[in-house]
Amino acid sequence: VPSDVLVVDVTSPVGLSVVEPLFRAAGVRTWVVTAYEEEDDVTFHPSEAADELPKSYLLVLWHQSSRSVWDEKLKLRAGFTAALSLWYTTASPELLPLSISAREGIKRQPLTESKPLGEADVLDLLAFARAKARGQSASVPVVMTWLTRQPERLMALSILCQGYLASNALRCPAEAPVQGPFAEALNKMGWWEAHERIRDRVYSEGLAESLGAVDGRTWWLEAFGGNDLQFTEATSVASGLRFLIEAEMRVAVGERSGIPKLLRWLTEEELEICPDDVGRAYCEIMSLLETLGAAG
Amino acid sequence: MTPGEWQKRRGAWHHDWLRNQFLLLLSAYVKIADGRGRDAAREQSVEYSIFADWCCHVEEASLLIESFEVSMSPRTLLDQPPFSAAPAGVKLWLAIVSHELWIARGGIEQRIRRARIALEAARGAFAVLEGHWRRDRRTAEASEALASVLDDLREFRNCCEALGADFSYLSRRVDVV
Repeated sequence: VPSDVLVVDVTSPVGLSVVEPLFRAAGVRTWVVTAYEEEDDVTFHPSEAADELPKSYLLVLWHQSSRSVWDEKLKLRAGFTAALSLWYTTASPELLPLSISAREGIKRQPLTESKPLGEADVLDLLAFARAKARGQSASVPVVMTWLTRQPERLMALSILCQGYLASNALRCPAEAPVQGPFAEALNKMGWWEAHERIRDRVYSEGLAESLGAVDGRTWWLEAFGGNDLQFTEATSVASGLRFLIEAEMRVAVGERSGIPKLLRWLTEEELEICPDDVGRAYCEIMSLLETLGAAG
Repeated sequence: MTPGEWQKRRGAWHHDWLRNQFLLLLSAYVKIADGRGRDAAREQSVEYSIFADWCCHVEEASLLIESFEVSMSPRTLLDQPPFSAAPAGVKLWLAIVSHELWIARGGIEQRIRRARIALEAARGAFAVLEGHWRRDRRTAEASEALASVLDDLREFRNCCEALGADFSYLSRRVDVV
């Protein structure tokens, strides 16, 4: 497990002065990279250590506007790796591009004295990164759950499940199940009371031909990321969703079966999914939203 | 009205004004009219305290009830992150499904109808109270006129309590499941 920390920031001229003592107290070496996005040059702090800079890090923190420096100049071009890579900002998460906000992040400014990391934040982040490096599960640090004022992604996922389940029920009415997770989800979401009105709207809006789109990953990913996503971004959105939803729930989705399978399906080509899987995920989401006080 | 605006105005009307101000005021006037307490200042200010206050707030109740379905439907979430950038076709389908399921699952039309009926009942009770008060006040002192409209005052308070109860079924949050 690597042990060093790297901070990448194109917005701050500050080097190690604020962040280094914090991580040193936790027994970790810190490196800072500053750069300007238009230029190729990156500056390493401490400057005299540029030649011996590690390529493997336990934790990389990158300012949200510095993504290209981390992704393109260091990680992709120079082969740097990190057990845990987090963006940071003090801006509202709603203002961030989805390709960034769907990744893991914290609302801090590690290089400055305004909203810096606290000692507890540092210890939590390091423990989380070490667990991740070892492939172990660990609770998400509090500093990473700031963005979950309401379970937006979980609520969004429940709406997507409704769209998928309704489409499948409409397209195959004769095969509508009477038991099992699909049937349970249809009952819970009020399908039998609403299906005639929904069917009428489908025909009046000319949507009948497009209902089958819900069976493909693209439909789900586009709903979250828009239709201008590149493939790599769609992949990062899908993998980021799992983190965001775990953070929203403040529990590991691994404790359930339906939600993890649905999220895995978004990124794993070989995996297939059926209405029973989505129905199971929907019932689990419903139960979680009720637990979180966001439903019922 | 966005869900946030609707929720804020609902809180101001239902919790802050109706429950914690107006119903307490009506109960105080019922007590005075019933002879269980004298309050000369309140007796003189019936029109200002009750009538003007009700007239100032009743239209807000109507607006909140009539805008509930549009403002608090889960389809409003499709205009917010993470759906903001979703393609129009995806949004249209999800809007239809999420809205119609919410209407059916939550009995939304019945809830709105009940709140409307309760509001009309309160309006009716207020009109009776105000009419009787103005009639009696022409020939009687405030305390006597107040005593003469005790039953009307009770009825109006009961209608406002029922309105508060039915209004509480208009959910404070956007329910998606």
